[in-house]
Amino acid sequence: MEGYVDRSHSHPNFDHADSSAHCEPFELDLHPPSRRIRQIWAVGGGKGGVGKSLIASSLAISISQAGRRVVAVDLDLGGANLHTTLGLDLPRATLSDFLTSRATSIESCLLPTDINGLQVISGAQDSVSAANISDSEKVRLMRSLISLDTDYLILDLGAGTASHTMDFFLASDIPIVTLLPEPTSIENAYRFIRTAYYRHLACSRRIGEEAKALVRLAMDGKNSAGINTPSDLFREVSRRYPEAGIQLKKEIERFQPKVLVNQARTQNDIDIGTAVKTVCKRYFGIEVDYLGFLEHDNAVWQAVRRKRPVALEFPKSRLVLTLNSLAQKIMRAQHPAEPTIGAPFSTMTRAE
Amino acid sequence: MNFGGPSSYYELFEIGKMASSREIHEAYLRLKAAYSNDSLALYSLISPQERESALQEVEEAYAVLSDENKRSAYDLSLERELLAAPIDTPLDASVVSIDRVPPMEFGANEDLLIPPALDDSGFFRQGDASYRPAPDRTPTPPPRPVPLGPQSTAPDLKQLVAEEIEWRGALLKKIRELQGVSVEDLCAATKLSKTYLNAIETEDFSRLPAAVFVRGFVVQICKVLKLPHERAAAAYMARCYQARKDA
Repeated sequence: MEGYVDRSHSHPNFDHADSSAHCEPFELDLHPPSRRIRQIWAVGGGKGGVGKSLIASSLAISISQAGRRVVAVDLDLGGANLHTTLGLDLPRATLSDFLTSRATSIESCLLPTDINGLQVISGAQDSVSAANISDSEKVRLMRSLISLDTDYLILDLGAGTASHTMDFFLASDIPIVTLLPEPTSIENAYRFIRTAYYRHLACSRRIGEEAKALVRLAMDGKNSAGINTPSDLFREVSRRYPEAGIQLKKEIERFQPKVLVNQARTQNDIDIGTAVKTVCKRYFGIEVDYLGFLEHDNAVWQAVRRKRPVALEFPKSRLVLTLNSLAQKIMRAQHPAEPTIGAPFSTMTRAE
Repeated sequence: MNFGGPSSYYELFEIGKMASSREIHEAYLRLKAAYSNDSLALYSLISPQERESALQEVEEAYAVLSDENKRSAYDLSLERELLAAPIDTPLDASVVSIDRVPPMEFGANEDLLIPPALDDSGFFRQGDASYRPAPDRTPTPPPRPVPLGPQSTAPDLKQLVAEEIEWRGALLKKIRELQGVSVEDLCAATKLSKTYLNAIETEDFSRLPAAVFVRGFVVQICKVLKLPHERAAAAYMARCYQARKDA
């Protein structure tokens, strides 16, 4: 399993606030020598209510139970509730304080939890002013997060396709798209992937300006040039600028989001992940990694009602064991020596 | 990645060439389900026409791969295709694959334009030893000005250009020479290798890469020589397609 790892040691995806407009990349070193973070995982999905926060918090707990230090960050700036899924009350310091400089450092926003090794940075509470952050705030936030002294950073992304959501998704090593086996969720998941896909290309420093101009054209679905799909884009770039076509191909192949199907009830639900992978290859020309599926589990709503993390409230539930297995699989894909999480879980979590 | 359709039935089924009949059947069922009429995974992304087209491809592939004799013949044709790598299909509007660009043939001392190789980290690889990061938006230096000789505006050349319909490689060469443009100058201006330029001028299509690239090369040459590139490229490519088809 290959993670989406930008090994260029700087990521261009911190740019203009308008996701549909042009990108002006600037240097942001995501892998400074001082970085202690082993990996950044981002949990997105486009649609609200698909389980992003619950999955992010559960993965964070799983990793911390393996003895690693984790910081879970609620980047759903307009609807933060990661702290609730972790059983915390309204936090005293949030990203609002950091973004408005009321908090002097990102460290002062770290909240301890009952789980050893796990800390949380809660999302903004002042949703009116903080739901959309400026470019400079975005860069300052990411730079501060990278400087944290922790092993893993788990980002709980908000719903929608705001530019900062896309940029944090693209800056992560493990970009996870969560979806439910429902048309509305799938529609939003595709919209999310499509936006991230074009943003990834439009902001890439490895693609020339002439090809980027066509990428930006393609971002407007009603453009006059008739470039309506990634296939159209690739064909047009290759026709006009053969060398740029080769670079575009390489850049497309770098975009490898991971899909996680949540609340699966039937075999058909499980198979949706495989079908999404097939369809994405045909439409986007990308290799999507189907991470697996999480079964629908009544443990979730019971835990949510009690304002308790499901991983602590029902540690032996099938759902929690699957999430443990999933977290371990991702950790070991990059670092094979990572320790075991909890009890061994023999049941396959992958639908493939 | 191969937009516009996979390069082989095996790629479509995402299986190896040694796949068992069971693996083929499982892949077939998986794809059939993915492109079925009630497949949720298609929602909002794949049009009904495209779904039909994808299903047809799946059925066509399965008809071959599930039949031992047809599969053997197909494997043989794939091998032949591989051996005849320089042969390219005509520029099909639906397929622009850059997966099968043939390697350039070149002499030991030739000045080749080699696309910059990327290492695993996406940096350009310089030779085998040293690496340098991808250039940070440094503007590409303008091509060297091509010294145009006094003949470039000669009336006979203008007339030649106006009346030309075939645009053979030999003519391109003649015009280049009439304009006093050396091979080196044209290579520098177009960033083409001498091998490709020579192959274009001698119409040695077997030494040239995929049609989409050849067309781009011809257009670049024509632009430098101030020739009507659309007309010239169209006529030149028609011959290129025919020659490869005959081969």
